[in-house]
Amino acid sequence: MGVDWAELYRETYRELVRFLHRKVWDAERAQDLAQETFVRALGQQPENPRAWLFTVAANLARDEARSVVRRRKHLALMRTEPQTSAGEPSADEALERAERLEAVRRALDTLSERDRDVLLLWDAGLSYAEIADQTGLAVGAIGTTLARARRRLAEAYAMLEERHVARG
Amino acid sequence: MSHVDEGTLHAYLDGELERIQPGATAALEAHLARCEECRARFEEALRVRDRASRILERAGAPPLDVPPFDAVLDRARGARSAAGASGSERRRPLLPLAWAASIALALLGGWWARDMARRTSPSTVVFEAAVDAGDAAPQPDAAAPPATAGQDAPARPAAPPAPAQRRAAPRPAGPEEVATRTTRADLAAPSRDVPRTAAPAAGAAARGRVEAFGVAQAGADSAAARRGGPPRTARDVAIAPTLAAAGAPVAGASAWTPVDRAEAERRLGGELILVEGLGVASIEAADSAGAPSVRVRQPLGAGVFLELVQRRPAAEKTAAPAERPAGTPAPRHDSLAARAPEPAPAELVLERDGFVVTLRAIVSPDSLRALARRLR
Repeated sequence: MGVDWAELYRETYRELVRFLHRKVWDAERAQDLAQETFVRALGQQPENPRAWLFTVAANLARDEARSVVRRRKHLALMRTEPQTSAGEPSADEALERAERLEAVRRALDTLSERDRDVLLLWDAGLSYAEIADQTGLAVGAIGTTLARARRRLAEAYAMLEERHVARG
Repeated sequence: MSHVDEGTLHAYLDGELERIQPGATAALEAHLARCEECRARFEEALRVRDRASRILERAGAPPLDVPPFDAVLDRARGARSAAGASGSERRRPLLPLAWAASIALALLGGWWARDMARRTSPSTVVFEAAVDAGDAAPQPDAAAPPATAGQDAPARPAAPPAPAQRRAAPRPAGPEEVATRTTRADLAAPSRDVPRTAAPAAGAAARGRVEAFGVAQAGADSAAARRGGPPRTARDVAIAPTLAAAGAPVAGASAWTPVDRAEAERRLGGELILVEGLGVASIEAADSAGAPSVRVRQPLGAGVFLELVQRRPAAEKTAAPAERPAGTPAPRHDSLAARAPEPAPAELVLERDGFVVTLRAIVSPDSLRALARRLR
């Protein structure tokens, strides 16, 4: 059965970028990697393209994290936060956003890689079956994994907020 | 029903429970209605789930302008062309495969070297001269014997036979044999006595091909040999036949000389025909019996180039490539090459805007045809 790649692209691109953004924390890079993922998919023509896309995206993000992005993460955070208004954000707003994003990133970093992947895949819009297909987990284990990931994320974020408040 | 586990509660909250366990939703809801402890767990799971969702939302969404799908398609086509040319697209993310490819290349080089040692073709002479010329003075060696490089030699008075004829015809003895023996000896010890008749343009061809095979070290090895260093490696010899094929696109042509685009178009009497979307690495011109030819090298990927030779049809009558079926690999210069497992450049000859255009690259024929469709 042929895949309507144009339609799949329209349906999945945003989810893929969202997923990648929470992995590389650089919006431009996330978009570039999303396109690279589709380029590879068009070359490979996988049978299960949606799951394949997220698998390759996760691998690309992992490669990315091992190389450049980690070294320039702070700059990326400052540079690529989405603009919520037509005007440029003030320096204070930009700093606040950067701090907020950094807190989320640090909270996610406290999760195991598998828990984080499952959580981000769900956040990107994949179903339990698709997450299971991609991660190799049993579909019945996805709920448990998500429960643990969510709890740890909430705990870690709360702890970071407490430290932030304590520092004033 | 025993108490509900946390994972089931989250699956229920995510609307996935019924999908993964049909009928479980009704049982769960019935249990929650009568189990206070599980209702408390349910409330807690709901809070955790919502809290996690809000945290992730705080990360914000990246810009969500979706680029046109056509842009991705174009990029995919470009990637396929590059992959067809070098295979690098598949190797890039996989270091082990890169290692395997390096080993395979070395083995292939060994195979070539073995064949080259048996050859009596002048191809290697051209390569030797070319690499020498690449790092040495740009002028041809005036003391070199004339036309020892066979059909690749400049200013050859008569047009050479077509490749097929060359393969079938008995090889003449004399200078070519001498040159070849010199080359064989060069495998064991560096020689400085190889004819240098193909000088600067062939030198450029040598450099290009060395890059094309990703064997940038080859030129340095050769330079070391000239300095009296270690013998040339098998890799140097391995690329020689391809150099010969690419180094003499026009029979009887004078040496290729670098020119700028304006000069190339002036000589041709028309505009350069190039593949759209690719850069231009070099432009060279040569004359064949008064008919100018221009050779352009356009980069396809890392170290891989497309070679375009553009000339008027009159010059083409003396050149063999146009007689070959489009998209077939370029002919080899001796009979041994026909059974050697070496990647010959594909070649495509077509007419465009009153010119004969020859495309040549180490890509699949399909990729070459795709590139030809982008000629402008």
